[in-house]
Amino acid sequence: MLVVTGCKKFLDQPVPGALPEEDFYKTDLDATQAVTAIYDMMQAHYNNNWGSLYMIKTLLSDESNTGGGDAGDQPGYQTIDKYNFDATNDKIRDAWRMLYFTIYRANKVINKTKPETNLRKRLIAEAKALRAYNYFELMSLWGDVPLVLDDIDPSNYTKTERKSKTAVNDQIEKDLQDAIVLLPLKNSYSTADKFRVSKGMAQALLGKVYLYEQKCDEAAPQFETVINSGQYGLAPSVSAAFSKNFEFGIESVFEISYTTDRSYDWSNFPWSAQPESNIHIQLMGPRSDYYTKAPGDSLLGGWGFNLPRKSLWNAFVSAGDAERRRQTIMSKDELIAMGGNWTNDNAWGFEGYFQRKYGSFSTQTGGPINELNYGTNWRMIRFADVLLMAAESNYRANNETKARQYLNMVRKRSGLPDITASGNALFDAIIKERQMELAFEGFRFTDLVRWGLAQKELAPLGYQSKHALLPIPDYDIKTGKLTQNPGF
Amino acid sequence: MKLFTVLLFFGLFQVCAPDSIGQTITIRVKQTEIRKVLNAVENQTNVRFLYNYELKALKNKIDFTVIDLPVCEALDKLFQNSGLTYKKVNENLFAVLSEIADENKWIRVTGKVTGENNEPLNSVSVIEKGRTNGCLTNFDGVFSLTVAPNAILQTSYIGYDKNEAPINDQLVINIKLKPAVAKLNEVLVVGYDREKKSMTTGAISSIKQQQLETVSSTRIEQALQGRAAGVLVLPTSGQPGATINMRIRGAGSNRNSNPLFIVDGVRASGIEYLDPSEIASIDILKDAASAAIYGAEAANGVVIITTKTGKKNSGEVSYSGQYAEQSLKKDFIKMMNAQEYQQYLQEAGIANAPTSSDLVGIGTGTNWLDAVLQTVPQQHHSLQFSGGSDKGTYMIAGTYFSQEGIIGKNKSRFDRYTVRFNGDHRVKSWLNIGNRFSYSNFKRRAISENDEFNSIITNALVMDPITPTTYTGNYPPHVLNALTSFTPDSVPVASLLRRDAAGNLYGISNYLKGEFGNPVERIELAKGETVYNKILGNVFIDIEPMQGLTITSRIGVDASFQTTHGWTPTYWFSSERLNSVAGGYDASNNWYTWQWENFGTYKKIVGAHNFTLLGGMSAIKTHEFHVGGSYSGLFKEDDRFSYADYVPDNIDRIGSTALDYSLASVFGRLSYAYKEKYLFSGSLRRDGSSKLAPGHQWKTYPAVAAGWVASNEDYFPKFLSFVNYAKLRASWGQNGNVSSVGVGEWMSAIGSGIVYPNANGNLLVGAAPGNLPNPNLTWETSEQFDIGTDLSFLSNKFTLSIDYYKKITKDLLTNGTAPMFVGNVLKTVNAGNVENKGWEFEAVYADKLASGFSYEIGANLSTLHNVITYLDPNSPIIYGAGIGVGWNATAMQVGYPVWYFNGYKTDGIFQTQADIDSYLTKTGIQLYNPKPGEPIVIDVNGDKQISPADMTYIGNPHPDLVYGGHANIYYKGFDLLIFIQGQSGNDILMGFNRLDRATANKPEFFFTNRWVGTGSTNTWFASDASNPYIYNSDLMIFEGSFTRIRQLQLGYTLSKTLSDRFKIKRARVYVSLDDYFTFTNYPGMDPEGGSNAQNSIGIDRGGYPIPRKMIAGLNFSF
Repeated sequence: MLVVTGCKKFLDQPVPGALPEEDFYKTDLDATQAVTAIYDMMQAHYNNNWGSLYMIKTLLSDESNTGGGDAGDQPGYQTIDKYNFDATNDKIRDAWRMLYFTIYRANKVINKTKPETNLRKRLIAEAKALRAYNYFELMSLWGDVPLVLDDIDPSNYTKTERKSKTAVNDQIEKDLQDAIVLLPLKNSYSTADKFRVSKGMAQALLGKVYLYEQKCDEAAPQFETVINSGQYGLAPSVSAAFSKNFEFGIESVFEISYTTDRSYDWSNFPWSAQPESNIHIQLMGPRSDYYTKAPGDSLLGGWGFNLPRKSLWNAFVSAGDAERRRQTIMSKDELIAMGGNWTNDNAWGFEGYFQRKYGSFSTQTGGPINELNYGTNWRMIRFADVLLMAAESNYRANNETKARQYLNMVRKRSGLPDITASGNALFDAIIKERQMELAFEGFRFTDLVRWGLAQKELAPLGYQSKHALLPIPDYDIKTGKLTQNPGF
Repeated sequence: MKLFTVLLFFGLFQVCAPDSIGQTITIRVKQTEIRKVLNAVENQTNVRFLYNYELKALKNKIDFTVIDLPVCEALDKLFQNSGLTYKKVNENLFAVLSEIADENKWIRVTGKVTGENNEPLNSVSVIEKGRTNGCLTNFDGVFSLTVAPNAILQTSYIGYDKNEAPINDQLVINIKLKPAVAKLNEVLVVGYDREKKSMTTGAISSIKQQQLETVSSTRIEQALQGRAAGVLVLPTSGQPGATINMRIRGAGSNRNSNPLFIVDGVRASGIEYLDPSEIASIDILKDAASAAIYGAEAANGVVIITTKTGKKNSGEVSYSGQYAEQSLKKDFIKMMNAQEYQQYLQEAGIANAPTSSDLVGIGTGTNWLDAVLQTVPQQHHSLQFSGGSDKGTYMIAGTYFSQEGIIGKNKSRFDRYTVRFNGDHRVKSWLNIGNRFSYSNFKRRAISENDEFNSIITNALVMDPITPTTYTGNYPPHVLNALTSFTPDSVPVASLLRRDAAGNLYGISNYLKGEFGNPVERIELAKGETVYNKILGNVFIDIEPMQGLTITSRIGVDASFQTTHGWTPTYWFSSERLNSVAGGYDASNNWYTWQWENFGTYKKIVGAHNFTLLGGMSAIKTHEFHVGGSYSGLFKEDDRFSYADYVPDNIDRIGSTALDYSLASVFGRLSYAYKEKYLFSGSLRRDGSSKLAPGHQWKTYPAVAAGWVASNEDYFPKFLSFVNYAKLRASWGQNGNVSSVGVGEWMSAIGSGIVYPNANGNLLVGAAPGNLPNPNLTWETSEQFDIGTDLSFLSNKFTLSIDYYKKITKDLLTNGTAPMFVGNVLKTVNAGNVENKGWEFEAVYADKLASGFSYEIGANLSTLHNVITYLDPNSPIIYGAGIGVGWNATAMQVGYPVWYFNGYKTDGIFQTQADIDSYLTKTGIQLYNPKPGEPIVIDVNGDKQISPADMTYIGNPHPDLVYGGHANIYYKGFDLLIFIQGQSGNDILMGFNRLDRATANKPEFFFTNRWVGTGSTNTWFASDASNPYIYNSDLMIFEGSFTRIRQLQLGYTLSKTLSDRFKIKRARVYVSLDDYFTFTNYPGMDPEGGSNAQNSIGIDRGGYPIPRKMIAGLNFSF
């Protein structure tokens, strides 16, 4: 008996750095940390392991070419751009994975935290809004998806089926409605807490969900509430909205936060883990091999991904949209005129232009190594987008006056004349406006799909109808026995 | 009969001389057997009796009373009318005889068994030839046994040749044994015991000190290479101090496939700290039954290493030393020269490629491998003092080994010092104590290798030949441009560019950028060093409380302390690879393991039945502590300022962690032999590990084995008289592998390390479960069946062992594969089964001719078949290692070998556009637009497109045949040793050609073999540097077979007369060519290189080649 107890004790060794799950999710601090972990996963999601959902959404559109060193650089991104990806694409797989990993963390908070204090109630509401956000991404890109709201027992790994878009939408709406009640207005948060989802974020997202569902009567009031909440406005310019000064600023409805302060250098950068800086900004800088920065400019060299297509440049030019164009795209000629240089017109994916929206600006990075310390936040929902979605919902709800009003608010900021059109022409103007205002923000592709314009706009680039939805990753087809989307 | 008459003769004249003893006795007993009375006499005096226990009269009960009577008188009284008589043999020894003459032919003899130096040998079995009676010697080597007067005593002891001693008139027979010469009498060290090869039921390969003495390699694992069938030694690299992987009977585990190392009875975490000169023997337990006594960790086999001890009654000083020059065969791999490189890239249509005008005046350009290769020394010295008395032995040894690298010289260096003290002391006749203790210190500097992204060696392979090592004349435009430009951090590039010792700027590539940089400069920049201090040893007590029973208690310690220090200077190779702030790093890693074992062995001979019973317990606990940190902004770029304390940086990053894990075990084994004909052994071990969830911590490992020595049967046919020995054996058993499980991997625990910047940029702490729980996690179990035979022919000149085995590793531990929608990772699961099976042959022929010419020829060969037989249906494919960006180059799948190569399958080269059109029409493949000169890619899954889903099995990294052979020839002091080793049937994936770095240089045969137009070749493609259907396909798979002459050694041993004159015991000088000649068709780096990670076996990412060595050495002892 003594030996048995002795052995038991001998084999009872502590696991360092690991708290059993049943001892967590109990206090306010636990809940706060558990919610921070959800934000953290979203941060990784848009930046992790060269599988950024931002890149996937952008490359699926007609805005840019993959670029990079050559055709073999990041083949996963290259194939998405060329629409010859399949269900084994690593980027699509990782994006899917990170969405569900974020949902997992949100589920833990929602199911395990007891709403005993106001703080915990708010935190649960944050978790619900974040869960809704991630399901919205899933549903809009993959269609029917597994609706995971709690832990899945291993015996159910292969029995969890995809749920219809309607069912997913219902859950998203429910989560957001719950959250809206409990979430504070953005300005009720302290300056430091402004990164948190607020009532306005949940309402804007709910409006977007309705808009995607074409429930425009319901969408418009949500946007209306956000617009009239007094919490938001437009930054002086598009480039200002994307500047460091305006992070979590007046135009910001929802952002994912990164920092310039980690002092990453070449030897300590966590390549295989999750950096707190935004390395994708470096990935998207003009390829340094051929690029010489203009003396007065702050756009640093990078690795040459996400190169604007000439068609987008042309769209700006034909729309007479010069100010906003300059804040979004720079041409090689402009670069040279400013005193910079570009030495390789045949660089892979290069059509003569550089992207400046999420630019590799020296003002947005830190030391000791600029390349590794970009703190640029991803703008997930900004007020200009809310205005444009409000314009669209109002247009669809037959309230053209309001539609024009919101549309022109956005145009005015960029010094563009008011739109006076109505009917189809007004809708075309909204489409155009979204293309210009939201270029390189990852919305164009899902917009084209929901408008039914994807075939028309993207077919010349290789798009086929099956590409309206991404393939369910082969990994989950095999391990989870999910059904595949048609055509993959 | 003769003895009997002699005794009678004594008896007639000398019964009991009155003066003989002068001792008196007092005995009062009733109804007591005479033999008990004799015992009482023995107890009171120093008189001893010799008698046959079988004499009936001894058991007669009598009443007997003597008071203070002289011995002789008492004896006369005792034997009166007893039917017995007695005779004096010498002063205190009396023989008791029966009056019935016939009974007296049995006699009790005693004696002492000793070894070479007259040291007593314990537990030697002594039996009477032709009968079934036997006994074991005690600690003093003393035995006594009742035998027929004409008996012959057969003495057998492991490690010594059998001895037969006729009794011939003697009652006291001292026997001196000679150390074993015949292979069959070799000692095998098995778990917690030793066995004679002829009596083992296991598949055990043994390598002895004598074999290791001529080995010039300085790593034991290397010394094992090619010496034992079924044992595969995989050097991860030719770099000084690189780790070596060992596989016994194939790759079983998906994770750690290295065997369990037992050094002097104690588990060791590795054996790199041992010097071959310290080793007495290495025994490799290959079959499950032999290894099963080590249960939980023996699934990959067990390597038992026994270090040297002193010999009793001797004293010896010995020295061995060698000096070697290491080099590499010229053009061991040929890359394209500048002209070929330029032409190739131009033909391939690569952007930013050089033009012919860039070639002006540079000829064939820079041969980067030549530029980094050097001829460098290696030396090894060992000094040993050993010896002992009857009471104990000692061995004190010190060794020094130093090796510089053929690439990187001082930046790739290994220095090792070891000190050893082994002692044994006999405190009492029943008590032995001893220790095995070693301290080692080694220092390693390494340059990066075997990494297609960023290693120095890969850089030296693929750096463009147009760039010079340094600039001695004018700078090209891109360098002039760099000299005037700034980094994104506004640091002038000129301040980051480096110069060689002569002040010349290092060459900067204008073509190959990304991670790459001038390899000569990169070697210069390498500033890192790891120092290990290791203490390994044990103390033990052996107690023999009664005849045949030995109890051992042993406490072992394995403590390793490792510190790493290094720093990164500033540099600039391109805008993509630069460092504008010098930084340093430090790490300290400590492992501390103690092990306590108690076990008892009881040996008993009952007639012809020979039993050995073993039982014991073991407890092992490991504590790990790791701390590391980094800092940047060195005040001066200098070693002196490379530590954190001298850095004006307020953000020192530090990390640390500590781990504890333990293993508790009980074990037992019964071995039984009948008349050295029938052998049986069964063992059971039960282990508990702290690494698993409560309720799943314990597991039991059984094993059984049986053997039949046919040649010992009386009916063994006469016509087979050339067969001296023939044994058949079979075994089955189970073993575990728990070392592959990480601490706490089964639990879903909340971890930290999660941070998120708030809106002010301050980091908030987050927490979430790190992984999904898997409380059912259990250890890997390997189940193995083995059938084999050991044979000896032609007066034991020729020995042969053959084995067939089948090993199934069940519950293979691997990273889990939960569907991703579950939302977290499943760290470790038991995913499937892998089967290894094969044949093993070991043969040796040795002979000594009358002319003084002697020789030994040996060979071993093993076949291997490795296949995954089962995988969790939830994860029908598991991907392993990647190459470059995005290629899953290895995978596991049912029906295929572990970590097979996964890629596109091709079928020749498209010759014309018409070929392409007809192929596409025939197959219906869409969206695939190859050009003539590109490979024909197969649509494996038939979905009418070429996509990554078409990647499939394209090669097997495991050899199906591994062999080794040696020939040793001796003549008049001269000896010639030849040792070869090789393998065949494995594929190598040439993985250093990255798809996404089109301007990287390629092997020259890419150029010379290329497709240059219709009909030029159907096996190699046109110039191309970025096509995944080429670089991720079977075109990168090459046959990996090789044969290497590991050793070609000529030695001379001083003749006895000369040695005696110099008062030297033995002296030998030799010269040797090691790893000098390699025969292979593999056109890449080294056919042996590149096996660093489990799932990356057989991928050549540009590993450090194995140097060839020219060695001169000297051994002497006095």
